[in-house]
Amino acid sequence: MTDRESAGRARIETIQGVMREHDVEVLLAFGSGRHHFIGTNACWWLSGVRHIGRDALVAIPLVGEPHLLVTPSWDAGRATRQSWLETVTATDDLAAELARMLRAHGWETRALAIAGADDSSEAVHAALAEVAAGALDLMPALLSAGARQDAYALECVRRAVEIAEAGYARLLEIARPGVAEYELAAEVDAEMRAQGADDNFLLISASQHNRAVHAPTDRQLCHGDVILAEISPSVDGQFAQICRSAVIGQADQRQRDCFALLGEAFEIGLAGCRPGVTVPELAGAINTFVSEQGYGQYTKPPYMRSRGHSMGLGPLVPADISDRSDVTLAPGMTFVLHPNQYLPEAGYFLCGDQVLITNDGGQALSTPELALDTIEEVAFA
Amino acid sequence: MITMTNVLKRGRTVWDRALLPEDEYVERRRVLREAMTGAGIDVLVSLGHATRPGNFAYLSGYVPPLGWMGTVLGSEQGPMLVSGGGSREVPFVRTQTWIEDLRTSRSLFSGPAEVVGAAVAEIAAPGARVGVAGAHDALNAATRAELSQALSRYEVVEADELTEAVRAVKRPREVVALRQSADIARAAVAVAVDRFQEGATAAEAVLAAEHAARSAGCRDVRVLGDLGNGELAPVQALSPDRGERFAVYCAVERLGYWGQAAAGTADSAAALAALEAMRDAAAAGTAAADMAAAAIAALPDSAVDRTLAYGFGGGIGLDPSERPEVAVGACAVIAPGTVLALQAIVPEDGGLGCAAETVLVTERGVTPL
Repeated sequence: MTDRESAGRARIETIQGVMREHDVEVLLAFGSGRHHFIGTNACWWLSGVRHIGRDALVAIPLVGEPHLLVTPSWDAGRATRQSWLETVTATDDLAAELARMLRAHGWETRALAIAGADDSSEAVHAALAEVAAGALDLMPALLSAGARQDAYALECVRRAVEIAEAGYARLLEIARPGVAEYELAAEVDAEMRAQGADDNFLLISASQHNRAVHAPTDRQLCHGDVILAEISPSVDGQFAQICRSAVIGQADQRQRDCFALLGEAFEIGLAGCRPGVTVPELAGAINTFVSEQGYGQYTKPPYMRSRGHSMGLGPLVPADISDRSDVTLAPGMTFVLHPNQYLPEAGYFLCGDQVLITNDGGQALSTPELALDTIEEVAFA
Repeated sequence: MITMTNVLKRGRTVWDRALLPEDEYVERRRVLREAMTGAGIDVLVSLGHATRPGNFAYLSGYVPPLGWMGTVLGSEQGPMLVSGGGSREVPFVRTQTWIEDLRTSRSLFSGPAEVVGAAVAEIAAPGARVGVAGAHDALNAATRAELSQALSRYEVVEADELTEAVRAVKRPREVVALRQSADIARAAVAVAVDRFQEGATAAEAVLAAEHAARSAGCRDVRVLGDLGNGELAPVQALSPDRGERFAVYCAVERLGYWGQAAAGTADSAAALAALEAMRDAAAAGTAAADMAAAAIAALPDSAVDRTLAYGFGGGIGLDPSERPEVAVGACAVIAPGTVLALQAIVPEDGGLGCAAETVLVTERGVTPL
C-alpha cells in the first residue's frame, strides 16, 4: 500500500471514529466540482479523486466498504484508478444514484449524517431532502478531526511549496520590460504544471504603485514596476501558497522600507505561530506591530484582507488569520501567513510563506528568506 | 461541451473596449429592459458564479474570479454591480466593467442577500416584481434562502428563461468573440497533436495545449487528453505514458467567451460522420433531439453509448454549456443566431476518435465559426 493509500485509509478511520462519537452509521461526504483553493472538498479528501463533474459523494459506513459516486459517467476508469476506495460508481445523475446506492446497501434506514453538502447542486440538495432529511451535519466535526494535516497532506504541501518557488524563479528569470502580465502568468503557470502541479491559483500583476494584487492583464512591465505574485499550486489537490514581490530595476528606499516593515511583521507572526495561540492573537500581533509603525488605519480593508489563510483540499482550519477566527493553533496545522497590505509610501506588497505549526513553533516551509527581489536590467541588455 | 468545473481561473483578465465597447453593453441593457417589460418585471437581479458567469457577465462584461457576483437592473435605474468580494478588489473591478455603481458584500465569504436587498430597495417599492436569474447555479441552498428572505417584501419570480432567451441569440460582437475563442482552442489542440507526433508524452502534449491557450490570452483553459487509457482525462501528474494514438479536447475562455475544439492523431471516420450529420441537420427551427438522432444514426452501434456519455455538445457563449443541449430527448428548438459547439468523441481502436466544430445557426443552415 502506498503512502497515499495509507493516508486515505487513515482518513476514513478517523472519520469513522467521529461517526461513532455522534452515533452515526453512514456518512455522506460531498464534493463540489467547483473546487476552490480556499474551500474544503470532503469527498476528494476522503476518496482521493479529483472529480470532474458538478457533484460527487463518498458514503462511509461504520461497517462495510465505502462507496464513491462521481460524475460524469465517462470518468469511471480514471476515478477508479485514482481512488483508494474499492467501490466506485460513475454516473451522470448523482441525485438519482444516491437513492439507489442507499437502497442497494440497505443504508436508507440507518442513522445518516452529511458533510460538505452546502455547495452541492440544487438537484442533489433536493435528493438529500428526500433520503436524508434532518441528517446531522458532521462537517464541523470533520473539520475539527482533520485540522491537523496528515503526513501525506504535508508531503503534498511541501512539494507544492517547492513548485511555487520554481514558478517564482521562472518569473524572476523572464520578467522584463515589455512583457505583458498575462504572458508572465502563462509562463509561470506552465513551469509549475511541468513540475507536477495539478492546479494553480495564480495572481500576478505589476504597477509603479500597486493598490492590490489582481488577475493578470495586458499591462506591459516597465522599469520601476513592483511585480506582485501570489502563487498557489496544488499537488494531489492540496494547495500551498507563497506571496512574493519583485522590483524591475533597483528598489528605492521607500520600497525597501515598506517591504522591510512587512517582512518584520511576518517574522513577528511566525514567532506567534505556536501551539495554544489563538488565531486572533496571531492576527493581533501582526496588526499591532503594523499599527505601532504608524499604519493603524491600513490594517483593515480596503488596504488588506486577512493575515493569511489555510487552503483546500483538506479541512480548512483556520479559514482566515483574522480577529474573527475561533481557532487555536495546534501542531500539524498549515496555512499561508501573509501580512500583505497597502502602505501609502510605496503601495501594496506581497510578503508571505506557507507555515507549518510544529510542537516547537511555526516553521516557514520555503527555503529562501523573504526578500524584496530585484530584477536587474542588465539581464535585458 | 464537456465541462470541468473545478478549475481555477488564472489567465488574462481584461475589458477589451475595442471589441466590446460600452455601447455594446448599453444595447444589452436596452434588450434586457425590453424583455423585462414584456414579462412585467420591475427589477432584474442577474447572478453569476465564477464557473457559470453568463447571466452576470452578459450585462457587466466581467467574470467573477471567485464565487458569485450580480447585477441589479431597474426599468429606469441601474445597473448596479454587486460583488461577493471585499472592498480591496474594487479598484481593479472598476477597470473591468462599464458599470459605475459597485457595491461589495462584507467579505469574500458573504452571500448576496444584504447587498442585493439594499440595492433593490433603492429602486423598487415593496410589492414590486423582482426577477431573479442565475440563483440556482450561482448560490448554494443557504445563500439562496437568505436572498429569498432579503427580497421577501417583493413579488419574486424566476427570470432564468428570460435571460436565457435573450442570451441565446448572439449579438454580432459576441459572434466575433466566440470565433476568436474557437480559433485559439483549435490552435491549442493542433499544438498538442503536433507535440505528440514529435515524440512528447500524452501529458506533455496536453500541457503544451494549455500553455498555448494561456499565452494566447485565455483566462480559463480546460484541456483533457487521452493519456493512454482510451478516455479523456485531465493531467494531474506527469506520466511517461504514450499510447499508439492520442486525442485531445480543449475548452478555453477569452474575454468571457468560450471556444472549444477536439482532435486526434488519427482521423476518425465515425466521429467526422456524426459531426457532419449534426451539421447537416442543424438549422433554425430544428429540434435539438433531431440533431442528436442524426448523429447517432451515423455512428456504429458499438460506439453509441460511450459517445453519448461524452455528449454531442450544444450552445456555447458566456457559459461553457448553454442551452440548447444536443441530446436524445432534448425539447429545445434551435433559434436563429444560436452558436453551437458540436462534438463527437468516439471510442475506436483502443483510443478515441474526436471531431468538433463551432457553428452559427442561421435560417438556412449553419455557418462554421
